[in-house]
Order: sequence, then C-alpha cells, then structure tokens
Amino acid sequence: MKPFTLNDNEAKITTGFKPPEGYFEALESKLSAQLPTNVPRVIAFYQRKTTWLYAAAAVVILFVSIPIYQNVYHSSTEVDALVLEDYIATHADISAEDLATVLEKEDLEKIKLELNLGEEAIEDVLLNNNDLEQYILD
Amino acid sequence: MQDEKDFIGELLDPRTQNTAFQKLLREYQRPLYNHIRNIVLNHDDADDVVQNTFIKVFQNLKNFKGESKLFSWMYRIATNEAITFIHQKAKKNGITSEALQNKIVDNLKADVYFDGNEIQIKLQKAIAILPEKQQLVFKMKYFEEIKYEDMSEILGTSVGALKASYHHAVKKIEDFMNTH
Repeated sequence: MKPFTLNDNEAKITTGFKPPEGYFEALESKLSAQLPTNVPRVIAFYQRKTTWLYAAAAVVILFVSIPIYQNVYHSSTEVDALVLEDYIATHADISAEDLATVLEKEDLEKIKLELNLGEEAIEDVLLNNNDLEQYILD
Repeated sequence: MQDEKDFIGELLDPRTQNTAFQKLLREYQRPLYNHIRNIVLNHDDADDVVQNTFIKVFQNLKNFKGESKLFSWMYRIATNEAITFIHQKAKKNGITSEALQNKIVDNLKADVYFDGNEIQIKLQKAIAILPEKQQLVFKMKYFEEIKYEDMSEILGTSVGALKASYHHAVKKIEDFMNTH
C-alpha cells in the first residue's frame, strides 16, 4: 500500500467543515444589530461641574478651618510678657520694694543695665522735680 | 479592496461607518469563519468567536495604526479570540486543550455541520496531537493557503520559523496517518 503523504502531488484533503445554510446572510444582520451605534457620548452637566464644586468646597473648608485651628491651637494658657508688664505697671499694687524682694540679685543687675540712664537724663529729672530738694534736706 | 487607507477612513467616519463595515463583513466573514472553525472545530463555537471577533474589530478600529495590513490585523484578532476560547472551554470542562480537541474530533461524525469521510476525521486526529503553534501553522498553510509572509504578520513569527514548523507538522501528521 502506498504510504500517506501530504505533498503537492497528492489531492488535497479538505476540512469537511460546513456552515449551516444561509449562515452568512444571517450573520451579517445579526452583527449589524449588535454593533454599537454612533451616538455621541453625553456628559451630564453635574458631572462636568463636579471639579468646580470640589474646588469651591475645599476653599470654604479652608476659610472655616483656619480660624478654628488658630483658636484651638494658639489659645495658650501662658500670659504674654507684654500684657503682664502692663498689668503690673498700671493695675497691681506692687511697689518697687516688693519687686526687689522677689527678684534675684542677677535680675536687678540686668534691670540696672537695661535702664542705664545717662547723666543728662538724671540732671533733667533733678532740675524738673522740685520735691527732690525737699527729700534731700529731709 | 479599494485603497486600504481610504477604506479605514470610511470605517472611522461616523457618516460612512455602517456601509463600510457591511462591506468589511461581506469581504471577510467567510475566510474568518473558516479560520476560526479550523481552530475551534465546532460550528456553534465558531459562530460565537466570529461574532466576538467582528465586534472587537469594530471597537478597536480607532486604534488600528495601519502598521500591518487590515487583513493580517483581523486574522490576528480572530486567532487570539479562537485560542482564548479553546483554553477557556477546556478550563471550564476541567480538561486540557488537547483533550478537548480530541473529544470534539471524536464527535465529528455526529456533527451535522461536518461533511467529511474517515480520512478527513483521521487527519483532524493527527492535527490534534500537534503542539498548538504547529497546529495553527499547518491549518493556515494547508487548509487556508495563507502565504508565509502574511502568516508571519499574523502570528508574529519569522518566515523561517514558520516553514520549519510546517515541515515538522507535516512529518508528524504523515507518521500518524501511516501508523494508525
């Protein structure tokens, strides 16, 4: 028996597959019905506005949160040095002697240095204050 | 077919798209059906894959850059769809792709859309034992008579490798046919 070969001299073997009758005609209409139509995509108005809405909301939140943040985190219980100084100078019934007893020697030296009045200033005070003469005599 | 670039333009233009697509369908539905049927073997499966292929072609036309021929591009989509289908069906049935193919070939006699004799069934059995790539190359060359150059574009394999694959496939099929 002649061995089986697939060379070009031999008659070609076909697949034997066949589609149902009228299959391709039906496929055409079936596919046409399945294809997406070319309707332009509609983007809802509110969707386009979302970015702006988010931005506006962010700004509002920022404006509201800054004062809250400042109130919450910056309301320190420590009294401002300037306010304290002002209070002592104007309201408190504290004399220079009282302060001198409370303050340390170093603090007093510091105050002396900070004041550091010139000779001219002392002279002016003495000239303009008549009561001083009385004090000296006393 | 008319100049391919113009035809692709018609396919992309919403005003001419439907008419152009009908033309594309008429031109390619038979060769693509045959190509897919040769891979999946069963008519109902081939019908599903053909429809998916044309829908994919339509959806992806805007991405077609014209680097390959429209024909090769469509065949590439059809081949991928058919192979994916076979793998998924085999997985679903809990068997290998080879076992699935053997099962379908064994049932060919009972298939109303198969009009073949014993030799044709034996040839399908011989093809089913080949590795996937060799099967593809053999079917495209022997049954569909696609040129190696076009096949190279479709499968992304060099002409030399395709020729070698076909040669190996023919030898294995001849051996099978002579020993079974």
